[in-house]
Amino acid sequence: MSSYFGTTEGIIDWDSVVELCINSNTGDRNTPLGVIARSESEAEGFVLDNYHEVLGVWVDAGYNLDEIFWHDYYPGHHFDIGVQEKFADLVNADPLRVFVSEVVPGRNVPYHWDVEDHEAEWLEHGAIERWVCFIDKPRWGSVLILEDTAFHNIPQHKIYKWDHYKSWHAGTNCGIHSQYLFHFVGRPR
Amino acid sequence: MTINYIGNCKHIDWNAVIEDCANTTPAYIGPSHKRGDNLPDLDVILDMWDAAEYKTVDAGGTVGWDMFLPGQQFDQSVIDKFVEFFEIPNYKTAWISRINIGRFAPIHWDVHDDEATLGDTYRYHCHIGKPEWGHVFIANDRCFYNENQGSAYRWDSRRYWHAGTNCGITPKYLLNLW
Repeated sequence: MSSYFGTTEGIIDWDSVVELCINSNTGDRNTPLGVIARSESEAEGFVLDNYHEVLGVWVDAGYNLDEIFWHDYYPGHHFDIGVQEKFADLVNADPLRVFVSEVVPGRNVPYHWDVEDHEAEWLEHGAIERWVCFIDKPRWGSVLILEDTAFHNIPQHKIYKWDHYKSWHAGTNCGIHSQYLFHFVGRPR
Repeated sequence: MTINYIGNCKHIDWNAVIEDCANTTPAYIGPSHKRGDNLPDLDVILDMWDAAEYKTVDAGGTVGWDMFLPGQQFDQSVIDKFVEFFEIPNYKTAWISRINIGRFAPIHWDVHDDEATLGDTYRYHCHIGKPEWGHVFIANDRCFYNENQGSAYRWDSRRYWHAGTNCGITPKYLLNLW
């Protein structure tokens, strides 16, 4: 579940951010097998178990893992860090992990929750919350599913606060434009 | 450009219908039309798909859906009950579509073999499966999600743009009729 939080209208120029992501060829290309490899080389204990839990859902359902991929773009690298700072002020939280996700037409990022390698460390310093912002103009066929809600045709700039940063979610795209979402995981100030 | 809820045909045992489909081979796998079929407006759809780099499953992509027909893969009486309940006269065609996990029926409208001579008409769809996580159906600008099993809708035109996708963990079934 989630709740409407507000808007970035008049505060952040998302069109230029989306344009930078569209034209970038250096975004992180994520695949399940890549995530597995990274997690097994870097993560341990319950973090590794969490990766295996999520990917196990996909394997058990019969997904062809080779078909799944998505891209992530980061503030300060792919787009201006000032965007993150403005958003942090808006939601009144300090950033922990911030990125723009991209799902191209004909691809899913199936049912999952985002395993965070540094979750335990973050929690030692306080609560974690998460927001999503619809940064592109409404694009037919671009869908974000968050728990029991399917977000489609959401106006640009709208922000939703997640009920829990570990909520199950998915992205899917049966339209003709790539889907871009801004994700902000942070600690309330 | 409207799609209206017309009721719930819960008197039909949809679980049994799905079971019938799940236990047999589909009539065919969509899309059934391809470039060169020389049908009105088909190339507009195929141009959109090509520009977005969609590929069918056969070509190594994710586009593909299973088709089940009344009197073949499931009982004709299912459709008879449906049209009687909603008082639908003179329907031309009916089918159940299945989108398996990770598969897509991208944005399109259903160009018919006889498109050049067919007029427009109402179209109906029914959510025959229980609500399942990740089952997405979009028609016009409306996204149908977590619909009650048996919920049925009437479209003002069979030519509305629509799409289906499945990012969940079970197959998605939908009854279609016009």
